[in-house]
Amino acid sequence: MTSIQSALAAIARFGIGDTVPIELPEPEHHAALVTELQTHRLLGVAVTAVESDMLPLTEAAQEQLRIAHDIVMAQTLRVELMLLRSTEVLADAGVPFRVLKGAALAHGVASRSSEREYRDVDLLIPSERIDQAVEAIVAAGGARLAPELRSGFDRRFGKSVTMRFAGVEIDLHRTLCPGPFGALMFPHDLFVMRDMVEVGGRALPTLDRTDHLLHACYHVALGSAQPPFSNLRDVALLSAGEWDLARLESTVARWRGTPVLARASHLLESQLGVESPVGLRSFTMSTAGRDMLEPYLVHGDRFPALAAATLRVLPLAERPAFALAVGLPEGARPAERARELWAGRPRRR
Amino acid sequence: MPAWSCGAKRWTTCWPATSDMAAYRRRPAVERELMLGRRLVQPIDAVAPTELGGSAPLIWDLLADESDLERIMEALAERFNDPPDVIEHGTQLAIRQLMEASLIDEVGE
Repeated sequence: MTSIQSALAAIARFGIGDTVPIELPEPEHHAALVTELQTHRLLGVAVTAVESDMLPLTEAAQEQLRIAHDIVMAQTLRVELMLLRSTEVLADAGVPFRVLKGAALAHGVASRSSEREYRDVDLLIPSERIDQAVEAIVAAGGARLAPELRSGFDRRFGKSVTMRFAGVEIDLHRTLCPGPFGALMFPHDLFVMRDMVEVGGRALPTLDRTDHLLHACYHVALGSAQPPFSNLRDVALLSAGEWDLARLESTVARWRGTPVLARASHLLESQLGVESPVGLRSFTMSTAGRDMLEPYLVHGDRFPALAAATLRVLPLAERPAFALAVGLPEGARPAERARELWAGRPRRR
Repeated sequence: MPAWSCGAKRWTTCWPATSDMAAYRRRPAVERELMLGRRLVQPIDAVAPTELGGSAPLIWDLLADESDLERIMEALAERFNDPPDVIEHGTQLAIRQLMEASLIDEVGE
């Protein structure tokens, strides 16, 4: 018998490469396995595996899976409707966008859309249009969750603006990640190529497969120290298809993202147990690269560590504005802000 | 209702004269497959999703390409060995379920 962790990895690999029966832990652990499937957002993949007779869960665990999947799918549909609503608002306002992550992968990459759940709407907006995008969503009834640190911060330095629209979280991304790697990327590169994904009978613009793979690698490598299996599966699924290695290499070089791709490739093999494609394995980790990744891997609030690291990679002329906005946001009291930043100071793993 | 031929199928028949051979159109919606052949469908203007079971998901799928009820039943007859009255009964039930859930609209010729 295998561990819950091994079973999770096997379920996350399901349908990628050879499809083989999934080895499970003892039946008394099946309920715990389904709970973990929920945490790792793999309920839909598990449903497909059960229906293919490749995941021999107990009847009770199958019922638990059915109920959990039903609930998550209802939530995903609600988010999907808000994707349609928010993209309609942006289109009416003349704001260009690209659908990112969950919705795009559910409809463009997953074998069945029900395999890929998602809990918020992620849209990429050109830096210079981010204020306009926020205004359009606010005018339609949405609200931002946190105020802009200082005027102009969102479009110059922000990773994303998180909004709440009819009860659903909408992330308007300027870049693909926070911190230094976000500051080093050129998000306009992601508007050069375009694929379309059909959602609810509407065709929405999204990244092409190579750029989706790039994003999935950034997300898995920089999102957290222990990425959920669904994010690793995204990388495995995308890298198993056709993508443009030359363009990926060129973008990664421009963005100085080699350590990111190296970590993603390593996680694919060490956590998911999938052999990384040769193209991804060509990205290797250096000592300097490892140092750049460190602020992303700290425990707790990463903001102070990421802000400090961002300051080091920004052009000299931009550092004062960034430091002022982060150190003393509009309306903040210096002593209080200092305490906040100190409380969230980096603690390395 | 004129008789129709099932072409290459084993049998030729006509649907009972009482059949309501109307046409239907799906409302724009988002949807997901659920376990046990069920489907969750939420029209874009609806506040909550509807769960479809039995033959309704299949009819819902067929309505994506075909609006005419007669053609839908023809497609079902090609797929299943059931007699025409059974297929018609199942189809009518599913159509009623879809109509009651406001997932489809009846359209004129």
